[in-house]
Amino acid sequence: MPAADHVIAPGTGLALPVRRGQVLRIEQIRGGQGVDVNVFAMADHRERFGASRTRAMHGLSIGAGDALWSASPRDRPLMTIVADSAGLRHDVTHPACSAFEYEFASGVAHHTSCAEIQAEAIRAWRLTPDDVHDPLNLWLESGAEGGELWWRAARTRPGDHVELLAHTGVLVSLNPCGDDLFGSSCFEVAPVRASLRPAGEDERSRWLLPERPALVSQQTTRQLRGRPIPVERKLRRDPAYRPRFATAPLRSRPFQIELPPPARARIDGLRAWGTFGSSDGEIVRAALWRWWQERHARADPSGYPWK
Amino acid sequence: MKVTVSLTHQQQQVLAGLAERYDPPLSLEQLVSLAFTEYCDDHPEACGEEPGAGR
Repeated sequence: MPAADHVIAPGTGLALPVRRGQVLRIEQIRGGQGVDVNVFAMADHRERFGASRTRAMHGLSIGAGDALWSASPRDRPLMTIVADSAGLRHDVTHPACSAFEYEFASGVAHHTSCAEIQAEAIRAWRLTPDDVHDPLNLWLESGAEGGELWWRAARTRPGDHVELLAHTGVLVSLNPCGDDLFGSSCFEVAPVRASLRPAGEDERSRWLLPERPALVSQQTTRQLRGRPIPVERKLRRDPAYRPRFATAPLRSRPFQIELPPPARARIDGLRAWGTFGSSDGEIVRAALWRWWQERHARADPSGYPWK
Repeated sequence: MKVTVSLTHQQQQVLAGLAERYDPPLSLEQLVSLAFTEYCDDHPEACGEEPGAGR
């Protein structure tokens, strides 16, 4: 039995707390309905879903097994997609639809939009319209071609669902996308169902990650304390500010590198591309770091937390 | 041939960690030389060679 079951009506949204180890199921009722998702850490709402970090880890869209990462400097998985009945990829490139874009396109203001619905849903938790962030767009397929983003509505049937496991306590705000003009949801907004259940033992052992970050650079709220969050909306420079950049100055030193033949021909060959640098040293350094990226840099997020 | 390569402190740190993983450990200079050679072996066309040339 689900711990909670909600039907989210067209034009409305719901901000739902999800505890660590719980699974949020979002389900199609009619089929073909896109859903916008925002995620906030319950312990610190300033930690929230970071679409750009998620794109960097998994690609322009995400699917089963991929995580919803928070933005820097936290950079940790908040939730993971542990099931997707339709086996689709879901967009993390497009912003929430907003009243602006409908008015821009149609000339008619006050159109139902994900941004405004999200803002109203999170108001229940004292969050503001400024807290609405770039969403996970469930059941919206997307990609890029020729430098342009594209999207298309996913084909789903009644009962199709996505399940998200929470790695830490989160507030998940979701709404049926308010688009009835552009075709992301069959030109008619339909309700969707949301329910919560505890993760099973097999799900916990397979998917649940430690709350504690794996890497030193994944900062926690505790590390950010002592930096007051401004309440005033207008920006004013702090007259007491003195820069203390942690890694500056960035010092370099020269190294003499002995290269075996045919190094001269190889350097000249690389120079001809125009993208490796001008001097011999710049070209060797560019080849060095490209070699490192290809052979040694970690790029695959699977298996996080890494040892 | 000898080439002068400028590396930041943090670049040196990354390379030092990598150089220690070789058996026997490499000096930073040896690692940069190896990296250049292997990069061109991996990408002979980028280095102005036909695949298999220069080995």
